[in-house]
Amino acid sequence: MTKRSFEAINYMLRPNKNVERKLFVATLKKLHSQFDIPNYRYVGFGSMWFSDFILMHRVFNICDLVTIENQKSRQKRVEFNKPFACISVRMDEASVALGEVLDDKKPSIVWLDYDGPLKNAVTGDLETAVGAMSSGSMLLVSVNALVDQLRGHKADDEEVSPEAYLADICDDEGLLKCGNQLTLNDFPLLAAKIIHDRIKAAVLEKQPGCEYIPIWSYRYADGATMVTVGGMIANSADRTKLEDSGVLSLSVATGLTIFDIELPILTEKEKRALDKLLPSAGKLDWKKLEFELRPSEVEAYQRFYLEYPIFGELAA
Amino acid sequence: MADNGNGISRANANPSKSFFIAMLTRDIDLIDCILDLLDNSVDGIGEAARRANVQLDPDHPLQGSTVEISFDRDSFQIADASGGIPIGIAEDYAFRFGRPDDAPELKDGTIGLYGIGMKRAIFKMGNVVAMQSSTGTESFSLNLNVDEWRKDPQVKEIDQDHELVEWSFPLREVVRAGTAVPAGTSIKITELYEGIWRQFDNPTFAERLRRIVSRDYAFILSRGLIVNVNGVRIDPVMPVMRVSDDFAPFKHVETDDGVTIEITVGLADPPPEDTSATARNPDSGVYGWYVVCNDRVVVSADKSSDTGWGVKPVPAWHPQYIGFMGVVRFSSAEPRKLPWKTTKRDVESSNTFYQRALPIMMRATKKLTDYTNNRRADSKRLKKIEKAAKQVPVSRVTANEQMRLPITSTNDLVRIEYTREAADVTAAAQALGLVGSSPAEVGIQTFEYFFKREVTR
Repeated sequence: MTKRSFEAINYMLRPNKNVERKLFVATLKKLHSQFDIPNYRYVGFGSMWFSDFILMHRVFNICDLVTIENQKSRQKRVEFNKPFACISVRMDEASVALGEVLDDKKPSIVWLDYDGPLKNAVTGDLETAVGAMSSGSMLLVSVNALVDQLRGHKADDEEVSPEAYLADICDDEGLLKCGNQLTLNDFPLLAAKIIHDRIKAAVLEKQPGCEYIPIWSYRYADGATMVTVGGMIANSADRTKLEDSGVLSLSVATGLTIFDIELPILTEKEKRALDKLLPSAGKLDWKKLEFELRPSEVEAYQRFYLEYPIFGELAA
Repeated sequence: MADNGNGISRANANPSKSFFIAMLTRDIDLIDCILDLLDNSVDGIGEAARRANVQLDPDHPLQGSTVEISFDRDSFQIADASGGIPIGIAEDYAFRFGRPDDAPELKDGTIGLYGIGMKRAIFKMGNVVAMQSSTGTESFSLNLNVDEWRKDPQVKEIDQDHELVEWSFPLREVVRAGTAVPAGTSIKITELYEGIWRQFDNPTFAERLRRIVSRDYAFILSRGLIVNVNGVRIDPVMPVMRVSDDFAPFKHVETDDGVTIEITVGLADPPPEDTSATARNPDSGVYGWYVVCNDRVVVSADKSSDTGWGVKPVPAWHPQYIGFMGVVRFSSAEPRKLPWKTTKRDVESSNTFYQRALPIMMRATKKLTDYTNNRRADSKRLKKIEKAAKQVPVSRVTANEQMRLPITSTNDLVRIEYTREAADVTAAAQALGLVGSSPAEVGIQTFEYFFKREVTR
């Protein structure tokens, strides 16, 4: 049986996603010097887990939080699971809810975290969001970036080629020529570019006086490869503030360039062993470890050891 | 003005530059401005051939000619290596606002006819213009700062009662013979206005321009012209119609008073099974009527009453008619007889020749809409026949006074209708591997899935 994603995945047990959220928080902290983040609104798809909501409330004390949920048969579960009273639940399609929630022009952070394929992100939700947002607002979009999502589709009983399928869902014939980018490693880059381009196009069309400043381009995989991209909608004053905040000098805010989060899955014992060697001025020597890890895994861990989550079972 | 004592005076009706600039640019969108510049390049090729007395290949008269269009956030440029503008034409006509009455007669099916395209495009896009044109023997350049030009009224006061309007653009580097500048015209516009650079900077703009040029210039591109946009060559997308033993498009040709009217109507693709609001019919943008004047498409994929839709007895457009393709071509050596408006984005429906064509267009439309009604009952079989028919470009459809369509039969049909939660239907569509998730398509597929497995035939 095909499960809906919230039934299939415990959102908390995804170390790379977990680190991504923390890197996002780190960039927001930098922006906080120029933007009044605590008085922003946070809008997302909290599902049953609300991991991002918990961070936003804890770290920035954002108290205006809205989760959008379209599966009416789960309304009670969503209400039951929401961790704070200041989260309001909107039972509606995102394309409708986003326009209504953001309409008052309060600066907002909107994270459209689709756990599904790119198709879900190109149905007009982000355009609706951009159209209703105000300058200083930020938009992030996460999608599954596995190239396999483009294969095996039929129309009129005939197989549709991956590039034709992509051009069709994105309504962009230019993508018919992107065949050579439809590989395991290149499709995430293309998916990221498609979403950045769509946000940029929406801002240029729907927000006179504002431009799109890309900030985030993450690729990570806890199982399926995902990308998260986004940035700020800014008029010239907010653009200056963003530049003054220094956010784009952070190594984890790379604009349009993909930043890979590739953490190894470690046991708690391995994690503690590595932590004992950190911080370290030089690169950890993987050959000196008591257990086997690839050099790239050691390097990735060294980079994010402070953010790496520990998951454990609690005794009842 | 002074009263001269006899009760007669004179009211100043001189135009203002600001008015001209605002009015000219208001009713046209950026892409149509670019097409206007492209029209000038195409006409330049024909003009140059006439001046040089060269006979062009009748099938590919534009062979060997290239127009380069490039743009980014900071500038727009169009350059061709065609005939260029002779000095005399530049001095007397080319920069006038509107074609003056004493201008040389337009010949041989030109497409630029109102004499405002270039000025309008310049005024629309930006403040600073650098233009250079050469015929190969004569050349000139023009550098214009629109804002400075606008502020200089260029009106000479002759006496207290009379002023003389003397609008002009300064031509520089004028060479009247033996120029070293290679033949062609280039126009570069910088200091783009915000509304313009925001479009050029938009990642979707180049694709939109490509799509429109490939369609609206399909006939011209197929005559041999090459158009590159930001270095990428544009291929023509010609309207097509299905042709087979079962299918023959309707084609009607007549010539009257120097105007040839050619009407072709047929089916480009099988009509859809599912015409509900949520159906996935992404390409409906290519179907409908095309109105073509001297090979320039002025109305494309039209579904409005301009082309007879919704005018009795033709029904109003409905997704059921997806697949419909109609092309009406008007050609004449005298372009002002053709039914186009100044923006070339609209049909002049009161035009005599258009009024002549419309009833014929509507009769053929009705025939096809009736077919899509009748085929519903037998769509499975007919779809196969439709798909088997070859797509032929409209220019290669042969004349046929009668439209030929497969015979439709009627079966007993019932309609099934039910309601399910959207998330479940989406999940089912995913499991079925359907592109898009039109609920009707999910309904059909799940029924067939069951029928194939559990019902013996």
